[in-house]
Amino acid sequence: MSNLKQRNILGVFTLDLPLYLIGLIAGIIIVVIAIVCLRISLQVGMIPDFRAPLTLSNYTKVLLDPSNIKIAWNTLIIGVGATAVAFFFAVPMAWLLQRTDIPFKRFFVVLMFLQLIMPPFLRAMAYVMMLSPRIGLINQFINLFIPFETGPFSPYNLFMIAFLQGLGLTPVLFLMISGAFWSMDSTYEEAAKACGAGKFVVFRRITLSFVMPALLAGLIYIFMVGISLFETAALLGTPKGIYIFPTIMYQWIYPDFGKPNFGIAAVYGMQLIIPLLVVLYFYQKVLKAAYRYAAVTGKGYRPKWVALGRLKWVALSFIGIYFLFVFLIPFLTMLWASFVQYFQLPSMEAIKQLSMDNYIKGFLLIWNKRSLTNTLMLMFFVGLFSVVVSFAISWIVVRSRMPGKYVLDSIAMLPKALPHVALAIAILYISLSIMKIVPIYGTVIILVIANTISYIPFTTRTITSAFIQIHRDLEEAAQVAGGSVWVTIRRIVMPIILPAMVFAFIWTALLAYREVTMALFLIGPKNIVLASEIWTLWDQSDIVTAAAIGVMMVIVGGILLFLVMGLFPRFFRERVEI
Amino acid sequence: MKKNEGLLAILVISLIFLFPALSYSASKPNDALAKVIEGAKAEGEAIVRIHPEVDNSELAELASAIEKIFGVKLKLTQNYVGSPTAEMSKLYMEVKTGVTPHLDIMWASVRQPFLEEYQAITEKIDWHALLDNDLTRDINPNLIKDAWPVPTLSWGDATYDIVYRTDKLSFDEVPNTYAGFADPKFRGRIGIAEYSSEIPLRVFRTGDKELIFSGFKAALKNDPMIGRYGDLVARLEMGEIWVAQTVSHRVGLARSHGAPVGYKYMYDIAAIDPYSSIVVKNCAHPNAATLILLYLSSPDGAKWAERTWYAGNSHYPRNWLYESVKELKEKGGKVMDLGSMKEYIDFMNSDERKKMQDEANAILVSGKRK
Repeated sequence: MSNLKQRNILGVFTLDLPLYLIGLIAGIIIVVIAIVCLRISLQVGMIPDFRAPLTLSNYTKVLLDPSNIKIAWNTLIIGVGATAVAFFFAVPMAWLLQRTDIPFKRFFVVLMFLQLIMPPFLRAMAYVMMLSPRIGLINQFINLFIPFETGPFSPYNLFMIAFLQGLGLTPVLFLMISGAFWSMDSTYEEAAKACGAGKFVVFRRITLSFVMPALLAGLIYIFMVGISLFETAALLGTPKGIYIFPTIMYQWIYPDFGKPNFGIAAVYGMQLIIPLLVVLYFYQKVLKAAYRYAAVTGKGYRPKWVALGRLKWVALSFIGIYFLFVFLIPFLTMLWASFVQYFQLPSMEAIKQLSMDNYIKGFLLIWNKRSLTNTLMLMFFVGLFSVVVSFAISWIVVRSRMPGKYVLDSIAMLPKALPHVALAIAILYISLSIMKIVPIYGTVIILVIANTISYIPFTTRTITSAFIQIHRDLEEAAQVAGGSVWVTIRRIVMPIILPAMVFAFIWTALLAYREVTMALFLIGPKNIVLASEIWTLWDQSDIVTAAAIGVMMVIVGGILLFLVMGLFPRFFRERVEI
Repeated sequence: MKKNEGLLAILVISLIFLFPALSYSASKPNDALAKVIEGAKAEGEAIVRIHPEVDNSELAELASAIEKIFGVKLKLTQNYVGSPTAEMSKLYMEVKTGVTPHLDIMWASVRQPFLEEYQAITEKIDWHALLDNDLTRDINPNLIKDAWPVPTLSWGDATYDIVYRTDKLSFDEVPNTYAGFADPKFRGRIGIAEYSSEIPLRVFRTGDKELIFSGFKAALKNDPMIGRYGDLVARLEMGEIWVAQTVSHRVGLARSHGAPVGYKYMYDIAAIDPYSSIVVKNCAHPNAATLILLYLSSPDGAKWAERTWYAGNSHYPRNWLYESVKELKEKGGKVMDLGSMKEYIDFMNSDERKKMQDEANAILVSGKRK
């Protein structure tokens, strides 16, 4: 009782002060970085300089360029398309894996994580091998029956870019909504069934309604990520003159001759903020209405599995098709590439030349530069800090009565609107400026900071979605019973949102593993990471060594994931429902 | 008799190995070089940017060769992570904010020294003084590029022309002009570099703007692949395209992968583009970096670079690029040493060049090609 009173009298500054401090400090850092990014877009010159005169010349150059509208349109189509594809696969899969008795759950969840380890450019290359108009295996197969010069399928179009990006983002959406599916009280579904509703009606009208806040948050996030991804569009769009914001930014930052024009690139990035602000507005509305959907209360919370019966084969086929597209085809391509001397189509001649050379080269590369150690450190600390900071922000936004708390939530979303390149340049510049006081430049710490800030929107959305599901009654009951804020967090909140936090941790760690844009700007001799190694190999057209490293990572990652599940079976069975 | 033959063989072998060793040991550095050597001894290491193909054992070979000649034992680390522009911008920020640069040696194409930022990260070194002594007598003095805005010692050259699949096309069948790329029989089989700076450079080489621009536009209508050099070579290796624009050392790399590829000069012109190698201003190991550049610029250094990552050097015989350029010349082709051409420098600095590049960029990006 006393704690509850203390909170009411002192407002925000009660026992949860550390959470406020973490959240607010993170918010301030994000705002400072955003200001530096904005500054880059408003000046001519290569490094952020607060004494340089402000100019709108970058904006006029970009906005008055007729191609900008076309590029914006392409970007929008890919964002919407990728979100639709992710929705199509993620929602049924989250329901199937979290709410039904479908078999092989653990296997599917492991695959979901493993597909993220695969470099996206290898997935795109796999589809080039399958669908390239002249050499694609599928086109060649059709050519056996219908002769043609150019095959009917092609990977070089907006649809394929959106499709592949959507496939890649499906697990992210799955993760963001699966917590909500899992923590939903099944009594509502049972009541609907008792009233005669069929499985589909129950799913559509009960289950989907309860997960709607998390789902909307997830879709907003996916859209934002979808319009900012680079690799797939670079491999399947640029070769045929299809540009989107990230690929055009790349050209301004990595010209073959001349200095990088960060200002122009930043303007292209800043255009992403407009859709963000629009979707943020809707998101805030969703958040405010979210308590209507709070499902985990103190009254008989018990998630139950829905028996699929014969439909499980249909469900398994659906999930199987997804993994065929997203994992099996790319993995087999990667496996093939890892054994050949250069990236080529399967043939008898190529089979004769198969060797382990790429594995030896890849292993030595990883071993010699400490890139594996650096990557593992990066993954652990990014996962940890992202979750801690996001927990603090979510706590403030969902649970506190702090004035202007939704501003903090918007700030937490801000890094999603900042192009990774601009973010990296801003962090690079800040770290160089404070080098004599805080020597983090050239260390793994700077990569941890950059990645943590970059993924805060994702982890915050994930954890906030889980928070929304918990009714305030539970915490207030604990506090009325004499529990402090920390006791309430530890014994009430944490056990319920732990699955979301664990997922967020693992997922952010994996995102950090493959993030390359920021790494290219922030690494030096002492903080080289695997992603930059793989990128360099790709840049040097050494796809086969990159594939060998990719295969090693998938195998090691798979073994580790199964080990973790084996070591903590209780946690996974009880918390993740797999 | 056999014993005498054996002794003779030992004598000959000893002389073969002993002579260079004696000659090196008898060589004395001049004051300028002696100062660099002493400085390098104190530094003991260097962080270099050479090429990702170069592995640790090859770096050790490089260090060992430097020790043999200059008597300096160096620990070499390679840091090659980004494109030259990304590296340059990082170095520029480091130099401007007073932080020790992350690299001791930087290199890029012949075009970068024209940038103010590149000049700002260059340590001024009197290369002539360092070449004026016994230890560095083998280095071709033409490798010092005095005419450039930043005098550098160039340890290699590149040309930007055509790589093609030898199993699909014979040398004569390979189109080597933009107009040739537009031939319908090569529809979808050509790879064009996404770099707009290529176009004004081709105009400079041929001296015919109309020829290049009209051919370029026509080629873009023939459903080409557009991409970075690395990406195009990967697609060529895969068989998706048969002909691609590329930088010369990638041909050697593709061959080392076992891909059946050949090389052809566009418009029968070999425009030699020397690497603008520099010691980075305020770097941690400037003397060690200087010694490395000196070695790389020597005939032995060129051999090492060719063996490790197929780098070309048009100044030393028996280098693949030297021989290739020689062959082109014999066939009546034109050779341009861009690094020594005053008019090239003027062209690079001209507004005309910038305007042409913008025009090419608009054609590439904005879809005006159709």
